Amino acid sequence: MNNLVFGKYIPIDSTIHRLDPRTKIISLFLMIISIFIPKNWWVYLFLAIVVLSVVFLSRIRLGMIFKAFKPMIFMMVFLLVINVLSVKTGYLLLHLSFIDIYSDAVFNTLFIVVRLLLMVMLTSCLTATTKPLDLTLGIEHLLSPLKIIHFPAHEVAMMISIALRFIPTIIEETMRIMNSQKSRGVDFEEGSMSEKLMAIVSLIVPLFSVAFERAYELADAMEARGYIPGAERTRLRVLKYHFVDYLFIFVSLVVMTLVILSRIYL
Amino acid sequence: MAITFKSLSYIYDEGMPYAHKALDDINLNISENKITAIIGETGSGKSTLVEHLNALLLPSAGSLEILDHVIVAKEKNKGLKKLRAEVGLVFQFAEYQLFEESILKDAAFGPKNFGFSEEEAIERGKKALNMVGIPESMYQRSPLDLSGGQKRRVAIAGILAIDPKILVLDEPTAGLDPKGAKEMIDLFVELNHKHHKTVVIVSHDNDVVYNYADETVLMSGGKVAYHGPTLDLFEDEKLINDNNLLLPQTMVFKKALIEKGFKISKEARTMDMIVNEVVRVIK
Repeated sequence: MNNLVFGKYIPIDSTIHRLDPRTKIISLFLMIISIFIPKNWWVYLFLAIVVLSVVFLSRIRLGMIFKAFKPMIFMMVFLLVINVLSVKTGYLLLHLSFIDIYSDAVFNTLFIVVRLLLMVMLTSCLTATTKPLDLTLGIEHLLSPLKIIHFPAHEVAMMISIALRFIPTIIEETMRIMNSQKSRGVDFEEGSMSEKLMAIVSLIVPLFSVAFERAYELADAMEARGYIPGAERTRLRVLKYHFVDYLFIFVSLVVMTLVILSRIYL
Repeated sequence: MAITFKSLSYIYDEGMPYAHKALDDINLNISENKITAIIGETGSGKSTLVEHLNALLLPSAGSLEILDHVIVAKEKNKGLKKLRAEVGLVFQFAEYQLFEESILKDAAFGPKNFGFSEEEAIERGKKALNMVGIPESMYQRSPLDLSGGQKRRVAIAGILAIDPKILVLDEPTAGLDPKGAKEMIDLFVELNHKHHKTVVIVSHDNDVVYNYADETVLMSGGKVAYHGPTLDLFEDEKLINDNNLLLPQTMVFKKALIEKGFKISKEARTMDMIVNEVVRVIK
């Protein structure tokens, strides 16, 4: 499972790791807004520097982050093709026998690509520096004002954290079932279409059966320990903002303001 | 030799910050036509070792010879499917591999994958189900509706149907009731004695190991701490203390008898054998 780098927590210590999860979520939110505002390459250079310094502060190797790009290459090529086929504004850049390529098509794609790259870099930075449970705790806190309009913030957070908690378990389960079926002669890599289909069935059916079994067991275990959805509960770890957190949110706000101003005045 | 490990190491997540060396320079010969037990604490590398036996894991360093197959680290290894037909691996909680719509179809799934015709696969499935004691009246039921113990039997039949030369079992009796567990073990012993299968069995139950295994491999921290006759291992008090091994109940009983002045041979390893010797002395 070495290829599952995107979204994996990397257990080291850094300034970013120590930030409050709420800070990271808020800052990410502000930064993503900032990333989608500008239409000027100089502003993107500025944003790239900001994003890279965050990555540098998190002490995550750039190589790790770049690995997250790989699955996106297909999407980017797809975007380019769609844009080239549909956008017909700007000046004519290239004239081929069957198709004309316009400048806006290329630049629009480049903007989208850069935005996506920056966004993925930041998001993987968040997931690499924050434990899944801290992340959901942060989400729960940020959503809790919505409780006034009867939004089940705690329940939603609990569902997210259960889902996150069981991703590694399900991956482990998948590996185990794959190994069992490989031992029975199933070939997951080669074979004809019908053999491949059989291979997938031999994986999916046991996986579902295990997942449901686990779900029932978990529900029983939670009930046995007196879990009541929506009940008032206390926490072992209470989130607290520190000076660095305020600084981080402030910097994000400044970046966003600068980007908005650049859009108005540049 | 059925299986030979040559300075084999295995590292999980090699090259990552959380890389973990599970097997460290293993040199090991597992003999043909014998029952070999693999014991050791949780995390000592037993399961990793076992997953090498049919090439589900490939070594990070060193090499491995299984029957006529040679597997070398960092090389492209071919013929793995053929190897898997010769080494049958029954996983811990094997019941999770069941998926077919009927018990018989599930048992015939392995042989079918290894190239046997539909009829032959069904024939082999029936034979294997018969071996594990699943009656014909149940053949058309869904394997997912069975009780835990029955599921385990059907899953083991799924591997037996392949008719491998080497049978590897990872904790085959975990979670079974004592009677079911005894029947399972008896089946493996019979496969070894009657059908001359090489049996490798991972177990936490030192009584099973002491009663049935010809040889035992003791794993500790990814290394082989002991490999030799089972009877010698449980006589060696230093090894037992160093590795926090629990003495088999049979052994405890035997020791108590010897303390009371009975003469009991080293070879008496089951309750029946001990009782016979005592009876002979009293007569």
